[in-house]
Amino acid sequence: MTTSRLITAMMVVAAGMLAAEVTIVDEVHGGWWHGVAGFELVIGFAGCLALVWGAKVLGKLGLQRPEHEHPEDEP
Amino acid sequence: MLVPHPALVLVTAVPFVALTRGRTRQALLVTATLASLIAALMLPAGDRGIVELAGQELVLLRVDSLSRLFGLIFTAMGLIGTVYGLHVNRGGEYIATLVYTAGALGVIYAGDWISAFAGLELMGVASLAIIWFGGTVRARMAGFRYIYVHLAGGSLLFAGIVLLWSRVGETTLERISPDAGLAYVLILIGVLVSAAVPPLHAWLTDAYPEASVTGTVFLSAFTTKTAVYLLIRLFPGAEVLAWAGAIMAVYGAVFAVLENDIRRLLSYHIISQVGYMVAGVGMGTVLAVNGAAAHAFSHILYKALLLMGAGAVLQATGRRKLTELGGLARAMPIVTVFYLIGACSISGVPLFNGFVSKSMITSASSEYGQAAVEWLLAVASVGTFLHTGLKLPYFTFFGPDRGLKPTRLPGNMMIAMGLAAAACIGIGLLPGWLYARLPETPVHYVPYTADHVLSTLQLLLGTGAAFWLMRHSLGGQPTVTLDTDRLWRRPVWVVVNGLASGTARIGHRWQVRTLSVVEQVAMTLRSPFHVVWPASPPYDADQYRLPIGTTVFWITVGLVVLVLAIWLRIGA
Repeated sequence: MTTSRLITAMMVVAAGMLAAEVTIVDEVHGGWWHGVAGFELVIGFAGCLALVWGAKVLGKLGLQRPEHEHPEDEP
Repeated sequence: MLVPHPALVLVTAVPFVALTRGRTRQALLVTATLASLIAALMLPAGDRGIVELAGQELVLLRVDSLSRLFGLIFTAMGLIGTVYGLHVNRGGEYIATLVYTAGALGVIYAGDWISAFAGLELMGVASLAIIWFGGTVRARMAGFRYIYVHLAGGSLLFAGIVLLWSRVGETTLERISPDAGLAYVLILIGVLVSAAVPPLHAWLTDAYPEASVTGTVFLSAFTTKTAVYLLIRLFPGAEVLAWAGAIMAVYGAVFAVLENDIRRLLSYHIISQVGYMVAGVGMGTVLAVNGAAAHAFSHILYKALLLMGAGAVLQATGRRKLTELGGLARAMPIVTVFYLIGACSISGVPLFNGFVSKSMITSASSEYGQAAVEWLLAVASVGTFLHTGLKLPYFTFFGPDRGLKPTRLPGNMMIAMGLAAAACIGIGLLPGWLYARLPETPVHYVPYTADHVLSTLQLLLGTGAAFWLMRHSLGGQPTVTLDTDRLWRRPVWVVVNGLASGTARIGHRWQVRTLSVVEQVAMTLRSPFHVVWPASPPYDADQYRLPIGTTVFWITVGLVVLVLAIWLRIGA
């Protein structure tokens, strides 16, 4: 499957889920944000970007080291 | 009907496993673990196995809804893990896994602190043996670090138990009030070490990936889940746990981004998933605590399935790093399917067991009143799907083909993965079966509502889209990730090494001094005159010895006389 086809398929599924959320879901629990259509879609996308970006920054700050710096028999 | 303690069934099998080989041993292992599962299913509610020790009443077998639930999944996991490892020809490892499972069962069925602590110590020793059966230098070193941490955690726990005992005068294993003061804090920290709550967690990601393919599956199931059991039993509603759990869930997900080793990546997700359970215990509502128990049940199954899949890859290819793997779906289609079932389960995809248990905790978090806890758990869900549902399978099974030629896997590994996969799907399709066994019944929670299903699918779809955009930067790098253990590894090594060499130096000096005294005493005994006249020449034994030839001559004469005497006496 090519990237463009996959993105198209994802957008179609997302649109279908948004339509279903607006028409089917009549009761939500918790904070006000649960009532915003497509909120979890945005959280999934933005949360993933933030998680990867945050982890990469931490890695660059010193959490990631070359393997040879930590041999097997170290304490 | 008299039903034995499930742990006793396993311990009884140990000497027979030690004395048998081949098919007999395999049959014995399956029979013992199956009998243990049947015993867990048939145990009647109530207290049994009551013995008295030092004036204290010990309850070895307390069966209620919580211990029954954990007993069921622990014994089921014992059976699945044993089947998975049946091809292994290491009797010692079988014994270690049997004892480890028995220790975990000893804890969850214990009605008092003394029995529970004994079970925990048994688990500690057996799990160390399992890690060392990894057989590598890295496994040996990780095992030492593992036992240092657990000795420290166990000591804190023991101190807390003694304090609590001195305060209330009994050792019943029940909810602890914050009024218990220092005892409350010490016991909580002791249990949190076993639950791998950051920053006390690094032992898990350090040691679990270094065990053997079978050993890691067992390790993933018991230590942290026993701790979750104790948290549910002792600390429901402790608010600090809600925050600790939510942070823990994200912590594991963040570190998994950086990880290149597939078993270490999955180990970080043990931390993340246990975070959900810890948060559920901290929220303390009926839904949250039921969710924590249900998620522990589900987690044992899907995490074992994921690690069995990763172990199968390691067994078949000898490789465990994302940078060395790829394109295995064609060569290992069944393992790929089983892994993906585990991935869907841990990611909370509807129709799998992770969905019916995790959604209880996320629903409880939306009613908890702390938006930050709910949001952290949502981000952790994103991370879980990103790593275990997308990154790991993409780069291991579907990514660039590295031309690997995996060897054929034993049938028992496939059977074990099939059993776990069937359980993941079965519970996902029939959540009522699990809900009927939760600590607080009846359960009115309905997982399959339009709201739950749609919001979950949206979260997964958003994550999937972001992964696809970033997939080229997520393929793993040949690096190691430094965790909190790096803060104490070197200082502890210096202290332990210093203590060992210091003790050796003291021992050596003591030895030298003792020898000197012994020499003086011996010299005095040989020549007492030396005491009153120290200037006299020291005793020299050679001065009084006859030459060797003279000695031989007289011995020969003596022998001749002896022989003649005997001969004459016989002749007379």
